[in-house]
Amino acid sequence: MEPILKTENLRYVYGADTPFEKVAVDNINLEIFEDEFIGVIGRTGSGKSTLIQHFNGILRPTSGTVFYNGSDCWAKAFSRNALRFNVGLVFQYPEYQLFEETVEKDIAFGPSNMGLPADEIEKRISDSLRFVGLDDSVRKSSPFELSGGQKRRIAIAGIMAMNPRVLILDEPTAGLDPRGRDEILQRISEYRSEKKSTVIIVSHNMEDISRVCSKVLVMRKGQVEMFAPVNEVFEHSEELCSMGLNVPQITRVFISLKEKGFDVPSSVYTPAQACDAVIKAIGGDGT
Amino acid sequence: MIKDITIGQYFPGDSVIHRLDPRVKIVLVILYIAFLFIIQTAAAYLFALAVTFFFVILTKIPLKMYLRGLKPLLFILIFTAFLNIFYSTGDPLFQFWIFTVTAQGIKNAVFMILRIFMLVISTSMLTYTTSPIVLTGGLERLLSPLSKIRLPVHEFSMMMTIALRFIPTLLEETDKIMNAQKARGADFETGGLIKRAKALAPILIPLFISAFRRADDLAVAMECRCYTGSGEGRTHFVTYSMSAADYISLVILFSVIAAAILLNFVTVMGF
Ligand SMILES: Nc1ncnc2c1ncn2[C@@H]1O[C@H](COP(=O)(O)OP(=O)(O)O)[C@@H](O)[C@H]1O
Ligand SMILES: [Mg+2]
Repeated sequence: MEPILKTENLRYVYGADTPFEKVAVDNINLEIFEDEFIGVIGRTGSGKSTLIQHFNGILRPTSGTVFYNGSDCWAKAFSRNALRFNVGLVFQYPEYQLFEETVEKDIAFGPSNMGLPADEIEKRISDSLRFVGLDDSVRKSSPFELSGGQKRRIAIAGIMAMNPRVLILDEPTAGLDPRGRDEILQRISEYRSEKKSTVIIVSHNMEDISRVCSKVLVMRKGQVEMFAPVNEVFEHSEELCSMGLNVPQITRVFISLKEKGFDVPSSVYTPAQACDAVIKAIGGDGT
Repeated sequence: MIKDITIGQYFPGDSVIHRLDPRVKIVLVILYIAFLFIIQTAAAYLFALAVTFFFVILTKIPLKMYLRGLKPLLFILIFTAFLNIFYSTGDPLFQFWIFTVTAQGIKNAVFMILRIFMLVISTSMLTYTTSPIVLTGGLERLLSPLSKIRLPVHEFSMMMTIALRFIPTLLEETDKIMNAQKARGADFETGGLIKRAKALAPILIPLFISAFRRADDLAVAMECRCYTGSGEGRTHFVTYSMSAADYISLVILFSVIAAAILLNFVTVMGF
């Protein structure tokens, strides 16, 4: 099967040839397949945002190649505008990009750039509002009079309305309260199961990612440290901890228990796994 | 990208020049520019070039960076050189078609190019080695006597400082917003004038909103710290005092100017 997104020896340097030169990502070789739900994790400055901006052709690799569906995104004949409709990217703090007078006009910005007919745009607006959990009554309001969390959802809806095959979200939960965070993650999950699209979420919170994603990409100092299914990544939970990542609380408890000499794995990240592990450790049979 | 502009950029470093008192640096550059306009002979120009390179080496910033600042001026340089070569009066050196090239013309062109070249290098040197905040601080101190005649020197310099502080931030923000709108299929490059002007709205509106928000936050933060402008008894956190290096550089520059005036009387092969 052809990967939907693929990078080969991707390298990106900010401010090349100036004293501020900074290698943001280097030597990235990835294959992302249709229908995967990927969490990208890493400390601030590890190159997560830089990496994902290559997936929709916003950044041009300093060297190396990015492929969408097998074609080189920077080949002459390749349309990057079309790529951006297929790979929807929600930037960090997307609420700062809202500009229209009404919510519906703002959401329609992407779809109308795609040249869709009016009735299709209408449908996309209602669908995407439903996906982010807002009802049709906000359509005519100004995006600037909504709350922070609502603005964020409008901005996400603006990308969802383009119906991209791959949806990428850069720290969609940053700066939200725990309730808003859960809600957004929940909505993204539902969107994915309904649309069957590929989703990539960037976060520096392992807890968020472990809850919804199937695969985790761990970035460190501009390089890929690990790229594996969630449970495999958690086998290395002590390493994640030492890299300064916030592993879920439950994992931290089990790492401590293991250090104290209990016979439990440190790869636990859900309450169900925790139950099993504790039962096994105390020698019960689960009844 | 918008960030490629180098004029007015600051290159952090720790050279002798970086550490000079900003007031001294400003005075030095002004004197140096005056100096560039009094030199007239080939000998004096060679001397000035040597002095310029000496200072460039002292800053420890690669010459490449200075030359980059010249790039936007390339057209003007070529144009003035052209005018000078063909439209100077003097003894004709050779002639073709309608053009007469005189020795005087070539001399004027070369001197003009050298002068602009050194002018750009010396002003770039000031901004490359002095952070904008320090620069306006120095300027404020130099101009402070003017506040005696009720010119709002402090307010002016505060405004400059804030503006300079936020230029990189706004550029960065513009870049981010442009990318975010590109991700929604915005197209800034094609189409007629009206279409392009319309395409700016998705950038300008969010940019203005965020600029006003920042300004508001900053104003509140300043008020919280009881800022009231140049009220009575306001002191500075950073005070400047001249060091040995500052005095030495002033002495060097005055000697350079004196030497150049003398060299103006020396002619090499009639130049
Ligand atoms: N626009 C930029 N100009 C210069 N350097 C940048 C820019 N954006 C990011 N960087 C640098 O690149 C590195 C990676 O940044 P980024 O991709 O934003 O990381 P993350 O999203 O993981 O926090 C950081 O060291 C950062 O300072
Ligand atoms: Mg980031």
